[in-house]
Amino acid sequence: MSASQSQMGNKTGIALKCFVYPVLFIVAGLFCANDASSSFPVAPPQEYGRVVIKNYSRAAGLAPVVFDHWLHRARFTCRLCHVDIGFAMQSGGTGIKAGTNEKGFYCGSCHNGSYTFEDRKVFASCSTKGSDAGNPRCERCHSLDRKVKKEYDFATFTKNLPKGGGGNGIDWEGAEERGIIKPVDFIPGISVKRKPLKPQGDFTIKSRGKWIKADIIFSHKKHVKWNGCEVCHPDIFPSTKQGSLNFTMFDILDGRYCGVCHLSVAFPINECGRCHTKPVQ
Amino acid sequence: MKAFSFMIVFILVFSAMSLAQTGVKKKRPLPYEYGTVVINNYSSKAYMAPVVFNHWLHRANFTCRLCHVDIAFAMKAGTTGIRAADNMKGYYCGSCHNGKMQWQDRKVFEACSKEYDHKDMRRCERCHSLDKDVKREYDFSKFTEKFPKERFGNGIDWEKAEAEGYIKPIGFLPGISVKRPPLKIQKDFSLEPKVQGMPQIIFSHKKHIVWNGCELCHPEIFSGVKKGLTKYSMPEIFEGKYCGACHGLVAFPLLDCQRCHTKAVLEAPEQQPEQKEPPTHGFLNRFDGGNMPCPQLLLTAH
Repeated sequence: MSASQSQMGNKTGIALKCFVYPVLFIVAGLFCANDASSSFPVAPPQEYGRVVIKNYSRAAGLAPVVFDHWLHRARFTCRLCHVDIGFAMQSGGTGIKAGTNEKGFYCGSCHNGSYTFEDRKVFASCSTKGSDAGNPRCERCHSLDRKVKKEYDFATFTKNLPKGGGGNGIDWEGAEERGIIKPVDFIPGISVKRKPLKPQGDFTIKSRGKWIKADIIFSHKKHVKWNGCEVCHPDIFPSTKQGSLNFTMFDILDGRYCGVCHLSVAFPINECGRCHTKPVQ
Repeated sequence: MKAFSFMIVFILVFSAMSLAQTGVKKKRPLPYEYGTVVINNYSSKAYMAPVVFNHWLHRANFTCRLCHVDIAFAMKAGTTGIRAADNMKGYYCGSCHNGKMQWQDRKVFEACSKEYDHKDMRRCERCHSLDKDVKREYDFSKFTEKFPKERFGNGIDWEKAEAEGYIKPIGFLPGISVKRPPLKIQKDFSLEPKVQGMPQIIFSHKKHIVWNGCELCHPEIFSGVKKGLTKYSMPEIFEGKYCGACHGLVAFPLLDCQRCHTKAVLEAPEQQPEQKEPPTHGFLNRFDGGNMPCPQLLLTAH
């Protein structure tokens, strides 16, 4: 190699170091940045899991919808809403329209004015008829930044529920075990019963982080209780073969895989020890 | 420069991976949305709105085979590459939508045409309707009101709907279809799932050929008619291959595990079933002398 050539090589090296690499990293960062949940959610218990839905509200002259996930999860299984009714598991991902609710889909599956729950009629959701405009019923959901007294207060509702952990600060599993909550898994006219499949035994997932000295124990049995098979398979975890999906904590923090629930509604991801339970020798 | 090109490849792969949103849960399409195909190969370039094709309406009236074999539509959105000129010549949509075909005492409206005036624009909009406020002639909820209901997909039990006489899908189009004597149907058989503990799959040729004949699935989707030739797994099906060509898009979706995984699990899965003479089934004997033409691992005569 001649001197001029090696000089050229050096120049390319310097250019790579000073300019090309940083630019490429920024470009890569831009591609990888995901609007789903790039910042870690920190919310007080009563707000954890809250979903603000604003696909069409503002355009229709209404306040965005504030959806209290804790109230619904206390009464219905995850499967019921996210499989049978078909809600997406990303806020704004369903694109709910008033007309769709009125036809009896999405919120309108229960909030139709005729569905009865615990001896009371569930209030009807949207109506596209003009006469209903300004109805105080609208504000039960369309309530962002409005002074609306919610019918169910978090503190009162959860007073008797066992406490524990982050998120809503409720031990939801324990609450069901003790019979304080009994999530409903069937809506007549919408759900169709299937014979339950036998849940696979608990298995271990090897932790890749050298700094965390515990493997993950995954329990299908615990998960199928509220999720059935269909919340997770095949959309979130397409493969049912262990080890064929190669995801990392970064993916999870990005709101994918376990992060679909364990970032926003189920116990949060910063409770490392709840999944990483098996000490590694 | 090697490092540089490596970086480029790394970034491209990484960004592609991050853009492909796997591991998330999207909304389940509503019954009237399920199976809808948006076709935009050439529409936008011709200053037309993309076509919105209602699969539910057509599947209620015609067999799968008629459109996907006799007329030869692809089974993946946008891969047929339909042109206005093709339709005008009487291919694809123009096979029926030619302004002449009679269907239940009415003439089927004509698809694309070269000459048109402003009155015809409404006809264009019957198909070229994406993001347009077009009143459809057939309303899903009215059309399917009395149909037996099922879980997921269009929310219709199409099989039962035919059995109860609500739908009578047509499998023959004069001038296009040519009748062949039907082949004898192979019996139902079971497939062993790879995940231990999952119930076996019971596959029914009888149920599938009613609307599909042989030609919809063989040889393109399932090329192997000999055991072990076509190897596939659930992830491939989820990607839209094999069973996923229909189940997940237009037929009942893959979310409904128990509709295929129906057979009870054997008590002792470790025990290998004893080797028997390959079972002989129906018409396939003619091709391979009795070897069971199953694309999966284990097969038991059911």
